[in-house]
Amino acid sequence: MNTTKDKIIHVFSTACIILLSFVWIIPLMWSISIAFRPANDVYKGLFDISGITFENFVNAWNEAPFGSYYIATIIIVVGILCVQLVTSVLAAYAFARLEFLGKNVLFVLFIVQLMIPADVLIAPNYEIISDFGLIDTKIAVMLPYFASAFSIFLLRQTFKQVPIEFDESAKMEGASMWNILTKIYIPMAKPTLTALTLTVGSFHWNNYLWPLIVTNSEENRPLTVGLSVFSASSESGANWATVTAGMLFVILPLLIAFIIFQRQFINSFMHAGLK
Amino acid sequence: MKTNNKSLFALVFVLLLTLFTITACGSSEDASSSEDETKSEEANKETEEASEEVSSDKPVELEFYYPVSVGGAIAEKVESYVEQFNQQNEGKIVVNPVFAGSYADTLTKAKTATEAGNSPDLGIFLQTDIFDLTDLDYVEPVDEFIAQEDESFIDDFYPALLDGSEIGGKRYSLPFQRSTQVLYYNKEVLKEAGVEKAPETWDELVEAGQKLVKEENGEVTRWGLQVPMGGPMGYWNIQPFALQNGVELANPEGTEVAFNDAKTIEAVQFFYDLAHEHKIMPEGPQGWGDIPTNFLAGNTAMMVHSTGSLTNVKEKAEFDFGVSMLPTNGGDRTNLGGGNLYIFKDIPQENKDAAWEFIKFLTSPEIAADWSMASGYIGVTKSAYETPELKAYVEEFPEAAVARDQLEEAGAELATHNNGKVTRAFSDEIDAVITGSKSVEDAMNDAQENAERALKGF
Repeated sequence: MNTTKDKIIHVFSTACIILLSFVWIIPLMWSISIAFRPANDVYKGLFDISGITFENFVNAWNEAPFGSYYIATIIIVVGILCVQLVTSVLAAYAFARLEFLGKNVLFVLFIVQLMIPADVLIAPNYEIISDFGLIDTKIAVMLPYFASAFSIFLLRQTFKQVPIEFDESAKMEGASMWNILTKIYIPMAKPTLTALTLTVGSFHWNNYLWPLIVTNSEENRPLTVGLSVFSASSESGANWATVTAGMLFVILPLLIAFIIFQRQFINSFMHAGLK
Repeated sequence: MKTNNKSLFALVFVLLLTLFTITACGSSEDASSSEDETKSEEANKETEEASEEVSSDKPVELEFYYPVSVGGAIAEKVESYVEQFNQQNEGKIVVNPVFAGSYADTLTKAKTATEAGNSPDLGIFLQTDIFDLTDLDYVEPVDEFIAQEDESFIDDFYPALLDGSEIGGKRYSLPFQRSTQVLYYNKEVLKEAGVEKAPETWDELVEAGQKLVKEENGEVTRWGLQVPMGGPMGYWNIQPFALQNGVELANPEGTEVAFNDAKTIEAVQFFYDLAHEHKIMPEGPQGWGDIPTNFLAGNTAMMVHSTGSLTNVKEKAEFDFGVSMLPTNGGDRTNLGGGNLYIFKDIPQENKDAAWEFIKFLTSPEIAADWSMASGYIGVTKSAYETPELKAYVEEFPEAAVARDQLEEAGAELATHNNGKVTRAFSDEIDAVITGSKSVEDAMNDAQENAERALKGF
């Protein structure tokens, strides 16, 4: 009795998953299908293609300096990740395990930042960057994200779950704080760190408005700004063939990264979510 | 002991971080509270900069913000004009073109930069951004510059394109990339359906549309007409119908709107009936970007679209197509759209002079003609259409001149103070009408009410 019920549930949920994933994959399939077909076939059905062409990719590549956009994007994303992970780990450890004056007040202040939408901060951030004389630099794009309340909060929660006994026994053995952090806390927070790297990384890979506003020259601008050259076609009809080809340029590295790190990606979310 | 040191270190680190955050927040507050102070500082900076630049013979550097709203290689075209200008003015002026996304993004970027004292020197913004830009006191009137030129300079522009760029007797911009809406029609389909010419009146539009609709097994396989409608641009797409019915949606001062005028209601009702009563047009919202694709695929026999699509349609159409002015009910035929050139205020005088030189270059006949052919925008001056290149182009492809000819029967685009909120109020109610959730009259009354609230104080 029970087993048949389980089976039904199993079949039903599998069907739901397949259906959902199908819904999710359709836009991607459409984009790929349109990007590879001749421009005049755009309005035909999903599989109704007269031929395969790479012309759209050539057009898209020639219409914007994707080479320099790629370099800028990679520098910006890697730069933000390196600094943000270090500051977040240190701050999270402090909030999780150290005792100091005003700790709780400070922590609340950090949490409050989570409630401020990022777009509101564009104007004040711009003024600071401008005062520093950093307008139109890659540093300007990265600087506001060198610390993140969200990352600190997430890591603090993870660090809190590390049994305090590990800490104490390591101290008894004479381990320094640095050793405790690198040998105990960081390895145990690996799933959270992976999740953070991926979400923070893809967020900044896709960030558009802040880089657009704070930079002016091509070599400091990321891919998303390049993509908007085609997609901002409010007066003429969109040229879907080139738009989709350009979009694939932008998402390809993320897509590849996702396929390679799929297991870690999902595990890390399961891990972070279940606790 | 050791751990104590470490925790001290952590404490200092956290304190520093907090300090940094607090000062960061503080400085932004300061900036807004002591605006006068920063302004006088900027003024000092200006004079400093100016004297520096005069003493050393450095070329004047201009930051030029531009949006792109016809897709693709058009951005490169703008940059090639800049390059040409820089070559002509070597040693004197260097223009740095800064692509700034859509029109809305460009305005956001300019606002952010200007508030921080980093104002661009000039830029392309919507003609309708005039109220926003002058209410914030960002832009400089261009009358003095125009006065320095021959009278023929300003007379050369098409008057309709100059409409709406004056407030309080001062002109704030000159046209650069301007469009109107026109009717595209599939000549082959019209002929086959026995429609002799493109419709010129509302009655003819309905009549032609009914002949052009094709049904197979109770399903429409070809529509008579498609008009983009819905979303934040809804106000722009519905406005021609209001103009055609003889009503201006806003007064020239930008302080009053006529959204629930009987003629506006009649115009919106006519649009609604095209789909629901006459059934020549699909019901519900219609995507701006999808309609040219439908037209090219033969899914609709006629479409209303911007002249900005002309080059695209011309390149892709596999059938003979025509372009004509929009059908009217006695009033003007279309509204205008697109972007103008503005000079900013918060920059040294010699930058303003240099910016004017660049504006003159961009509106010169050769550039205006080339830009019109590349994009489908209207050539802004009469002499642009006298250049051999554009003359030959129009002769071979008469459709390219329809938008210009229609200027005689065009009204200014809806623009008011607090423009974003007012057009939003109108567009939202248009959405309510086309999705059938409100009657036309209720929707327009609500639009009027919301717009009046947004206009309070102006």
